[in-house]
Amino acid sequence: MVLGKVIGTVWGSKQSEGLVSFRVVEIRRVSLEGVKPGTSLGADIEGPMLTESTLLAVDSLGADAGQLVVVSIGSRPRDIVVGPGVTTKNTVIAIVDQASVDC
Amino acid sequence: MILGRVVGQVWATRKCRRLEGQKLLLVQPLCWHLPDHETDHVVAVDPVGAEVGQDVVICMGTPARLALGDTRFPVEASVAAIVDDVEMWEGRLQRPVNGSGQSGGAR
Repeated sequence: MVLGKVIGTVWGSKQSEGLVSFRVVEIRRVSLEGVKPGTSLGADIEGPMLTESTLLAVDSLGADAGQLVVVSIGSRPRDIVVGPGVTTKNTVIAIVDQASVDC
Repeated sequence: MILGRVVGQVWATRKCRRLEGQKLLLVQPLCWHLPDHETDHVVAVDPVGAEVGQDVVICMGTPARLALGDTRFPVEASVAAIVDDVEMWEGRLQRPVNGSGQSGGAR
């Protein structure tokens, strides 16, 4: 799983049948490079603490833009959370209240 | 399996039902790691009680779910062991984050 920040929702007027009725969110992954021990990661993290590149994930928990989430990557977690017919490998499995970097 | 160091913890109130009661750790891989996505960390479920600063062995994929005792967990990384010591050639164990090339030693 990886930690990421939701930066927005993606809508498609034409989409694969497996994505109909599912919410797709765009996520920037957290980068721990240069993060000092004792840092608390919350919804307020910005800039260099996030990767430039993004990933898309199906979200069944209702994560809003700006929230930190845990994304599980793989078809098996996808099967368990949203079902085997959903065309994604990335699934939001938790909305993070807080994450700490202690060492 | 990968070798990593626990650098922090993740708290989440809103999560998949099956994750209730599971501890989530923030782990940084210590050496070779081929992630599905370009990333410098792994969030792993911890059934063994690892603490921040400890080195751990992380299981990825189906074995990660088996380590939790049930394959119906929506996760793909879990702590399989807490490392006491690592013996390795000098310089082989490099931290990808600060590139300081620390060698050996879990503590």
